[in-house]
Amino acid sequence: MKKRIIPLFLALLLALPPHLVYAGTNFAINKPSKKETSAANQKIMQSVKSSSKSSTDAENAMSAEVDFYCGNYEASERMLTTLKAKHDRNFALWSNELGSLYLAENKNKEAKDSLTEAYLIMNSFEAFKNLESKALGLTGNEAVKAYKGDPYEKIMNSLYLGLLLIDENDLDNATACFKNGILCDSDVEGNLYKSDFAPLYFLAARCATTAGDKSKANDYLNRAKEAFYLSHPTNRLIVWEEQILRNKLVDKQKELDVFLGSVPLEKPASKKPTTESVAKDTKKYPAKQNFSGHSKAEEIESGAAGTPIPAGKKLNSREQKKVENLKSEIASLESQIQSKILERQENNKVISLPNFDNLMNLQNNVILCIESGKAPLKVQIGSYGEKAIFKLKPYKAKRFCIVIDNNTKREGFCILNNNDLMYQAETRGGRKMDGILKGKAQFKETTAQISTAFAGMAAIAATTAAFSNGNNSNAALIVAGGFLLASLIVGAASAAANPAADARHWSYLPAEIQLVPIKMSPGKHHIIILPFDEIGKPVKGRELESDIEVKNTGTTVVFKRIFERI
Amino acid sequence: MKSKLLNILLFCCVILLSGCANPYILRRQDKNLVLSPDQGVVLFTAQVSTGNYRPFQYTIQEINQYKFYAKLNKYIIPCVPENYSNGNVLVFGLKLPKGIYKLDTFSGILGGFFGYQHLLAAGSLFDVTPGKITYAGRLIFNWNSYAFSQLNSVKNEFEADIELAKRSFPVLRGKEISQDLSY
Repeated sequence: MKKRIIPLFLALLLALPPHLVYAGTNFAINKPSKKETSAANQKIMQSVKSSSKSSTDAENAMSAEVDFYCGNYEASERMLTTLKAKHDRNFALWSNELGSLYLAENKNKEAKDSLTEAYLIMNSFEAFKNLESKALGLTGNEAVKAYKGDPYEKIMNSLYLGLLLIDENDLDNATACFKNGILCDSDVEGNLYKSDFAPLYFLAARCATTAGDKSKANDYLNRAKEAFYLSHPTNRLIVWEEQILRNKLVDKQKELDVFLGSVPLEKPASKKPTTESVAKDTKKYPAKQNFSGHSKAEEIESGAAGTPIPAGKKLNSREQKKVENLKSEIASLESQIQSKILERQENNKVISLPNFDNLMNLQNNVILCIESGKAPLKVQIGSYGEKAIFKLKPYKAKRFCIVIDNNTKREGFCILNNNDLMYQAETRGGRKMDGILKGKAQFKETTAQISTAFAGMAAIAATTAAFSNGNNSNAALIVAGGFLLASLIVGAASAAANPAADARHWSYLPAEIQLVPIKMSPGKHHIIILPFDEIGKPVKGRELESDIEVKNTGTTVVFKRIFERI
Repeated sequence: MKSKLLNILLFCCVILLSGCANPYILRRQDKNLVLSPDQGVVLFTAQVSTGNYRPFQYTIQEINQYKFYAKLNKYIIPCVPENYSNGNVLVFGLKLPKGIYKLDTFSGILGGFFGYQHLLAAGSLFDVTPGKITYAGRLIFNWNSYAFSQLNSVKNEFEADIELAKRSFPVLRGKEISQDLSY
């Protein structure tokens, strides 16, 4: 009887769902009591002390974030300063968040220092490089990498820093920051989404105007207009569709190239540059951004003539048919892209551009930066958190009216708007790391399934052992043990794989930033910012009153943030 | 034998009453609502397009970008009679530590006693503000097929839902409730 109880118990244990055995998440309700923690467990607890410490840091950081959005700046600053002092892999993140906090507190000097520290890490290839290889391993977590930010976070860091440098009249360094921001914004997948953040161009143009370089200023201004059109909400759907068509076109063109390349040649290949070689060259020497949205390589790739068939190629009828099909698909895509471009151009006619003359006028000696909403939230999704998506908390304050010294009202006409970060964050495109994480997730899923299958087989063998006699029983028990061991090994491998995506992001950023150049006499002024929603209805209870000090010379930059606190 | 029966009975009681002692859920019998400086209350309602769906538990996941994914807290909250006390509209009240959370899934039974288990995917985020009671909206679930259904929209039915919530959780009467819809 006793002999049968053990295999039966084993079979029952194995019948438990594997997620209960290999549970990776903390179930808050089912926490073990303190008494259950035996002396033996204390040793293990000590070994994981460092990880629980980082967990406390994470809780403190989240607490600081909630405090920031509740207006409890002092507590938030205290917490972030402590975290930053640790000089860990999140140093740039803490610095950025402290920078945002200082801007909300109108401490421009401290904000500049903190953002500069973040800037140096975010734009350095070498910083924390040793951590990157760890993240690539099967058991490595992407979040162990140093935080360096997504392109949209880099452009915001450059934008803030540039604006703060303008405030200090350091125009050369400010221009360098804006140029860096433009460069960072080009680090996205889709060509149409590259460098489409208009404020950077506009501010670079303003710096060039101040330096007396009119041709450069005009160049930047034209680019600012193009970026404004491309990222305008009216054009976004068309741009999105056009980008998909362009991606398809590049794929088809590549397919044609590969196909033609695979057909045997009678004579050596022509030395005429093929689209592949152009693509390779483009990788080596990135094409200069032009605002028709085409890179040079793409123009060649999508040329009306398509890829020429190398001379001397012998195509049979089936191959010829395939080439013709591909060519007709390419021609169809080209015409669709052309119609999208025309559609965009038609839209551009009805989009009212901000008054760029007003924006460029240096007599407007104050740049008021109005920030509203909460930053896009990066959330992990998927069975193992292997994908990261952005979610935006809706906000009401979209338009503003500024009352200066209780008499002058400025509304809409000179505001550089539609600079929402959600659009910038979402148009980043895929990363190479996404593919790695997907692979890790597949491995984890497959090994978990194999482990479950082994456990099931072990259960069957154990049940057989319970109801057999003599040698048969022993043999079945050995088989059960083997399957159990295999299940545990494969299950352990599955549990060790870590496909979770890195969700760290600069969560103190606003959802949108609007720039308002204003002409004000030097000295103290009282301003009131009245927020309105999308349809022009006043957003009550969110009005912001403040005193500002305008400098005698140069441009004064003022940051004001509208929080939608409950 | 007696002691064995007693143990079995005790075990069953622990299982059955586990929801009653849950520190995160509001109950009808709560006399007062005491919030620590790091806690907040969130209220939300849910409506499923088919009337015979009864959830028995729902899952809430902490959203904290600074934590490793495997370390994120997951709260499995059992449903209590108060959730069903308003007919077709299910009312939920939770007392949680401040932060951001994701209402992940509802697990329930479709089709009465002999029905089968069905999951409703919500995937909706909400904020818990310290010291505040907030209303996160009415989650409308669209019943596309018996195999799969998910969150259709979040409606702002503030007036009606607060009335229902106050009926289910009398402790909320006389308290200030703000709107902070889930997203």
